[in-house]
Amino acid sequence: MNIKVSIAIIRGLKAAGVDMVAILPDHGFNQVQKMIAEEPGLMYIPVSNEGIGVGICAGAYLGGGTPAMIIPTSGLLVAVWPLASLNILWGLPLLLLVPYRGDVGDAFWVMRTYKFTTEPVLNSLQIPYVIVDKIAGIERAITDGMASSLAWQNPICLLFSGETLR
Amino acid sequence: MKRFDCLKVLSSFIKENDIVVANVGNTSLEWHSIRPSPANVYNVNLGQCTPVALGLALALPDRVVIALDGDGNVLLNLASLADVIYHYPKNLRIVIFDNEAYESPGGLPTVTAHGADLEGIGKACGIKKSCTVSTVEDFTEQIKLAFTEEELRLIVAKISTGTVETPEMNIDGKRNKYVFAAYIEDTAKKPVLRLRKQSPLIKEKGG
Repeated sequence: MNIKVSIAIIRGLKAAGVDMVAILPDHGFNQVQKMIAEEPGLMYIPVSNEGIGVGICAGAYLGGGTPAMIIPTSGLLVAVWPLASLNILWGLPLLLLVPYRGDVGDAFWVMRTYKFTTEPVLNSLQIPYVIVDKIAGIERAITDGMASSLAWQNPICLLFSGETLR
Repeated sequence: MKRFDCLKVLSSFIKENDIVVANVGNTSLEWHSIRPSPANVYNVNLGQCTPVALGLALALPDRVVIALDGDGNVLLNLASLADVIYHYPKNLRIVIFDNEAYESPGGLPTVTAHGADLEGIGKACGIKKSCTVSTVEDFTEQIKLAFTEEELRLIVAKISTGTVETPEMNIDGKRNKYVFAAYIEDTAKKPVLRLRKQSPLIKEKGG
């Protein structure tokens, strides 16, 4: 993982006012996840499945926190039930940062399924998403995503692709 | 032992600003009938009760947060008992009402009816203060400890199936959210909703 991506993500999270990050380790974002665990001002919340992370973030938001979640593309599928039954039903914000495995260019057969599930699932859940494929756009995407998530009372997903994953 | 009797015991110890997160169904209806309060989060769906309570406990470390979970509910997300360990919040209490059944959808048994031991799972996850109680007297004793000792605690309360007549509860998730958010903003002096007075685009353009 490009160190510039990790630095930009942490800068973006801090600029967006994020104070806690629920994480399930992912190969694509392992470096930034380790950096967050050591970053003052960002509470690191490791979770054993992404659905638990959604619940923790929902509670943290209701308690006045500003949580975000960094999860694998596969984990977005795991998180669907709590996203539907909590965030969508109650109208709760959450910024999701997902390395978009399986996007065109991630030419490995295992990843194929995510190209055909990720965006349709987000559309079905009515979760707006932005594809972030330039390092220079990371910080702004995070601050804009969090601002809209809070204002709309709805999750927003950032799908990291292109040079942000290389 | 009946859940309603346990909830009455809990209400006798709970303080005004203690937060309660109740799982979906009869637990929420019964708790609302006993302690209607803006400090309650009701009807948290399967697998999410303890995670939501954990998030609240982390965001509000000076508040006692009590999860009123159920056996079927927590079994969907057993790892949530493990995930409380990393931060080990001393302000979190987890009560699991274990009636050994999926009561709301018809009463088929959960695996706790066949020997799955939630206290043992809690202990194996690392929750040192984990116990099982099956009488109101023992439940009372454990709740008393939960409010006197500042430590993460898991109480598995073995209860019979069945519920009591409760009044109508016209609170959906969105209403609950707004009421609870206003309560936190007022009592914890922390903004929750954070709705802007105008678009940031207008601000950027200087107008």
